[in-house]
This record gives sequence, C-alpha cells and structure tokens, in this order.
Amino acid sequence: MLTFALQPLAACFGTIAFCIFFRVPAKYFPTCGLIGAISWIIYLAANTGSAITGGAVFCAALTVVLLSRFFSVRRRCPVTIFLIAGIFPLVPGAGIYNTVYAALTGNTSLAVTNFLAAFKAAFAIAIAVSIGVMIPTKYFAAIERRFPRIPRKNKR
Amino acid sequence: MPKKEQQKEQAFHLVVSAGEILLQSGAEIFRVEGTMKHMANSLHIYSLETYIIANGIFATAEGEQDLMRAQIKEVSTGDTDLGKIEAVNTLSRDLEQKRCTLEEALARMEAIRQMGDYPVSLLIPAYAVGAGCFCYALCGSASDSAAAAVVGIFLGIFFWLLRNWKNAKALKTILGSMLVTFFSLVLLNRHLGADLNNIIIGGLMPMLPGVSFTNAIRDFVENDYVSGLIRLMDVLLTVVSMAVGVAIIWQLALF
Repeated sequence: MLTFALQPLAACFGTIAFCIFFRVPAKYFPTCGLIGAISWIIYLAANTGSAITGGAVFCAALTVVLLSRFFSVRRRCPVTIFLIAGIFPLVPGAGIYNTVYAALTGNTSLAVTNFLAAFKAAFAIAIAVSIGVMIPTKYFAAIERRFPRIPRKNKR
Repeated sequence: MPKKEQQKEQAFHLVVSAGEILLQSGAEIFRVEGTMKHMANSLHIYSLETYIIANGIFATAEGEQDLMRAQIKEVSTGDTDLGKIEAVNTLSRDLEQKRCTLEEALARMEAIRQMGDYPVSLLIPAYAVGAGCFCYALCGSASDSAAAAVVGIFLGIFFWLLRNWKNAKALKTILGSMLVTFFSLVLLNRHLGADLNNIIIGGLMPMLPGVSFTNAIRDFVENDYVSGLIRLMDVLLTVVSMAVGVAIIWQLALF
C-alpha cells in the first residue's frame, strides 16, 4: 500500500528531473510534476497484469494529453511543454530493454513477446496523442473558464 | 536603402530566425509554420510562404510586384529546449498584441538564442533523481532505486564531459548505455541493489527518445509525414543504439 502511494510521488519527482534536461522554465515544474503523478496513478490503476499492457498505457497517455491541453490553455504556453514531460515515463524503455535481454540470453520467443508489448505500448501512446490533439481548443477553453483562477503575486 | 525597406528586411530576418530557433529546440512542424505566419502577419508581411521539414526551412516573401526576399535555412537539430520554444511563443504573442516593437523583438530574439542550459550543479542531480525515481516508479525496490540514482550520477557526469560532441548522438547513446550496464553490474557486486534489470532500466531512462517519439506522432497527426518519418528514424536509431550498448556489456559479462 505504501508503495502504491510512493510510486506516483516518485513519478512526480522523476518528471520534474526530466523537465530540467529539456530546459523547461522553472515556473512550469509543479504542473509538469502533477501531470506525471496523475498519469502514473492512472497507469497503475489500469495496469492489472504484471506485463505492460497497451490499454493501461493508452488510458494514461490520454489523461496526459487532455491535462496538457487544459494546462496549456490555462497557462497560455505551448502544449509541448506538458505533453513531453508527461508522455516520457510511458515510453516503453523497460520493454525495449527486456527485448534485448531476452534476445541475448537466447530466449527468442520471450524476446518477440517483449518486443510486441513494447510496440503495443508505443502504438497506444500514438493513438492517444492523436485523439487528444485533434479535439478543438475551444472545448478546453470552455472548461478552463469554469475553474477559478488563483491570483498570482507577480502579474506580468 | 530606404528605411521602410530596411525594416521589412529586418522583419523577414526575425521571422526566419524564430522558425530556426523553434525547429532547433524540437518544436513540431505545424507550430514552426504557425508561429512564423503569425509573426509575419503582425509585422505586416502578408505574403509569407514557408515550407518546413525537420531539418530545413524554405521561406519567401513577396513584395508589391516581385519576389522580395527568399531564404533557405539548413537547421541542425540541437538539444531539446522547451524554454526557448516557450520564449518564442511569448514573443510572437506580444508582437501580435503590439506590446513590443520590431527593435525590441530583434533584441529579445538574440537573447533567446543565447539562453543556456541549467547549471551543471542542477543537471547532474537531475540525472540521479530521474533515474532513481523512475526505477522506483517502475516497481524497483528502494535499494534498486538508490543504485539507479548512483548510475544516473555517473551518466550525468559522462554526458556533461561529452557535451561538445554535437554530431555523435548514436555513439554517445551506445557509450552511455554501456556505462549504465557496466556500473549497474559493479554496484550489484558491491551489494547495492537487488535486481539488476531494474537498476539498468532506471539508468537508461534519461536516454529514452521520448521527445522525438512524441514529436514524430504529432507530426504524423498534422500530416507532416516527411518530418514525422525523420523523427521516427531518430527514435529507432536511439533505441537500437541503446540496445547495442547494453548488449556489448552483457556479452562481455557473460564471458
């Protein structure tokens, strides 16, 4: 149970660390971390089996895209900032590693299984991003207006 | 040259350098195109035509009767820099709302070009936190994550030392994943961490081609198939390089 609570937290800090690689301005760090954590919660909740499943990745990626669109309207900045940070943890790095590992140890059938799983995850991300990006901005703007704005101290 | 002509010249230059910076920092094609058009409109260039692929910009602007300016720009892909993309976006927005003049915009564009990295004292801990945290998130134990964080520090130092190797991305990835695998084995021998696979996966996380992958998809969605393919090839090259690096050390270790 503790692990289940700590894993999204780890995803949050990991996402912020990646934001530093991609030189995201520091004011967006909290939002990126939040998106990373939420996507990981969705992923863990939807991922019932032990193997990486396409469906869980799809749900998590779709959440990331929708949240990114929302925050890009709210903060008036390119959606890329949030999208890249949020998608990053879902890219099937572990799947690729497992494929290589299985292939090297001579377990060809396991290698193929792992490769297909990684491919499925990548494809799930692709579909989720395509769907999320095609929704017109006006809907996100309409939703955004319903949320009260927290007043900021230093207004530009 | 009359003053007005000179201003048009500067405006065109500004628009093309905006596109160049965006493309270099890893923006999607349609964003580069859109931003260039927006900026041109706010600078009163109404006939800008652009053709953009992942590594080049072709832009022309017509005058009253004839071709006014044309420029071809070869753009080498640099490091992903979302800060620059955001800054150019803000600049374009300010120009559109007439909140800054052409001279100010030129100065700001030069400042954006000079925007640097986060300091190394922040970058190397980021490698450690990124590797360690994602090792934990991907079901590694606490000791695995600690090992992955240590591996991440080594990887960060390694990439920082090689920061001037601009055109050796594949080689850098191969060497980086060799280093990750090697230090994971060493740390396991020193009894830090329990599951080798988890440590290596955590250590490899900072090298994953997540940016190119996401951008490739977005290019495909916007029908920029050529650029999407270029970026997808980048993803494949990185993934294969990672696999090669891991495989080399594994083969040596299995001896």
